[in-house]
Amino acid sequence: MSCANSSGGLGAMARTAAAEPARRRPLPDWGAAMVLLAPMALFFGVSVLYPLADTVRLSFHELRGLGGASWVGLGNYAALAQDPVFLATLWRTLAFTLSVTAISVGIGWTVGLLCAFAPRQTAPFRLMIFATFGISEAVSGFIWIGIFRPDSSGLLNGLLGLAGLGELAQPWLGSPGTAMAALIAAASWSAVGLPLLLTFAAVQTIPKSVLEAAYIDGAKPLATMWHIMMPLSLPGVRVAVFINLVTALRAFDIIFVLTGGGPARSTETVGFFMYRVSMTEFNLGYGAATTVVLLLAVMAVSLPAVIQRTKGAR
Amino acid sequence: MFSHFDGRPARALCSAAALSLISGAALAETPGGTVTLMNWLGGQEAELFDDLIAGFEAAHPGIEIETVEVTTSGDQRGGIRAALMGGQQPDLIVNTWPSFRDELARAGILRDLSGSYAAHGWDGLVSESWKAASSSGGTVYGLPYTYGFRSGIWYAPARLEAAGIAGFPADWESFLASFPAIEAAGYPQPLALPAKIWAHAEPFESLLLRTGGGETVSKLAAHEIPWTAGPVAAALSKYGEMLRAGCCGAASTSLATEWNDAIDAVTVNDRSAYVQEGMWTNAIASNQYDLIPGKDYALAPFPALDAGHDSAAMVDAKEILATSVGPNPEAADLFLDYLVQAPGANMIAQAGFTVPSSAVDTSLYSPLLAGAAEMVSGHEVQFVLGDMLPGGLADEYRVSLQRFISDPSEENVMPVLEAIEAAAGRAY
Repeated sequence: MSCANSSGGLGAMARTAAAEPARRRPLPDWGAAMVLLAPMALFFGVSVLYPLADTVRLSFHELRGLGGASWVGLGNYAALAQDPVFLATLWRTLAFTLSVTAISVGIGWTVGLLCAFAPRQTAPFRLMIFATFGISEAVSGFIWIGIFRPDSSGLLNGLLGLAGLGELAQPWLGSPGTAMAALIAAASWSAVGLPLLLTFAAVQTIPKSVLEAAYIDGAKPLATMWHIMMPLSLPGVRVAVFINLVTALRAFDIIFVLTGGGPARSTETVGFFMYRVSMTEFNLGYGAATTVVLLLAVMAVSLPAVIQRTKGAR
Repeated sequence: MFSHFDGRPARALCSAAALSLISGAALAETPGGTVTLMNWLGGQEAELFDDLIAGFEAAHPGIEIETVEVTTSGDQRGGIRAALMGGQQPDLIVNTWPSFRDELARAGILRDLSGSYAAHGWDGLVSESWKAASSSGGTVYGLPYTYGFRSGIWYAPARLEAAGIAGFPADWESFLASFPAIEAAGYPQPLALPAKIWAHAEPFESLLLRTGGGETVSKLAAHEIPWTAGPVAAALSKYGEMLRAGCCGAASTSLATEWNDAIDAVTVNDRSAYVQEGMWTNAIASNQYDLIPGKDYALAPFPALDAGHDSAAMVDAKEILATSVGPNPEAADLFLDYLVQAPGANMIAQAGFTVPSSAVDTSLYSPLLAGAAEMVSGHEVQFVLGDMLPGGLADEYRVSLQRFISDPSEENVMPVLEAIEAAAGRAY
């Protein structure tokens, strides 16, 4: 009996001993990852995936105003492909995006490299330029409205008048060519801060020994900038190009405030077209199809950059 | 025991029961609770609503008005639709677009107010024509609380005087002839035309009303006649005549001008002599800039064209629509009743707006406001065309007119109208 008891007790002890390591075993990596990711995944699902899936679903429907939705399959996409206004908008978006990215990155990169020669002395200057990155696009639009006012009360026309170039003064937002140029200038102004900051940061990571070696070899500042600083700052510039491309591609606020897409739709990009179709015409299915097209364009721009950055990650 | 029963306790009980029933019924008949008002108006019009709500709540202590503010930029209908689709269930919606009322009615969101008109006596205060202006498909869904004269031109008397023009030109020929004189007096844009977004349609709509009358405008709004119809082409041709006569300076200036900049050009910036916009111009000039109506600025009807419709008036109106989705229709009706009766109507008039209710004390109107009311009263009245068009068509209409302003030649009349007609074919 006691043996039995004893053996029972030993058995229980043995079972307990066998169970203990199981309880203490830590969660496998994937399990811990899932637990930690769950709140973010839930948030992402509710705030991004669900609206996205609903937008894709809506793009296959005809839904105008407050009426009911009816299934049209790929009808909205087919209509978009034949819509001359949308097609013109695509080309305009391409021109706007490439121009804003080229101008903002070009200026930001150049100024960032120049600032690297005298980091301390140029700090206030860099801060002023980077501050534009922190200003919302809508506020930036209002600032530029003041600059481009059609009469002499506009800053640009006023300055032209003071410089004796009054004959060049004009309503900058009132004709298609100058309105698009004005819009590109305003959007580039907002976007120049990021490439400046990233270029400057990239140059700061260049080992001093490299720059000293160049100096000992007799490289002049321009040659140092061209042969050493420019190539070694490229990783930062690539990030700036990627972010500015995506930002310009989906631009809306600054267009809405500055030109309202006009005159006569001459500054309407895909982002603004999407808003007009969805919120003014309330043609929600068509607007959703436009949103999907814009999303695909943003993904096409983003994916190579994301893949490239992921490859380098450990 | 029963012999002592004289029936008094039973009668008392019955009386108590009856009283409680009556008072219960009375309580049930006194609406209370919260009324939700969906409003998108800003500035002085929003302040007016704050005052109206405060006045109403003081008069009806059991009812609270909760305002749902729709804050969209641009066309407010998008914001209202989004709010409704997002689950908002207002009792009342502020509206100014007849086409939007039609859309809400088709969606089954609106409540038939004909019973309320009869029960509260609104029929005696609001004329049949105003009632019709708040109706869709023959059913009245709203109560108009203010209206504005829209076929008038605001002008600066001093600038006309500087140009040697004695008084506002009443006919078309003298109106056209005034542009070079005003330009010579130092105002390169005699009429400030705000064509950046929407307000450039105002002269065209007045010309359409003068040439074709209200019936043409109504038929065009319903697309019962095409945009390429003769009277429409004649009106656009007249618009071209006005532009070619130098009314508005360079097209690019007009296309870069916002509605508020155009008002400023005539009121405070000393740049133009004329501007054609709605009655909000009066509120801005008198309340914001402290200008004296009649002296610093004045209002005159659009010049006569001698085509049989010279006294016709274009108006806009704001109404409050009652919904079928709101939980408190009885209390909502009491708020509408407050607006149409003397206390509310007078408050609206005091704020500088004209009122369709006959309960208003018209002595509260300023001379300019009384003049505007006179231009509407008893004349052929037509609602603003742009607000009657479906959203997509209204946009194409304004963009096409922008293209016409860039090229106001006679040859461009039909291409512009054909573009609008093509959009109309898709919109209805």
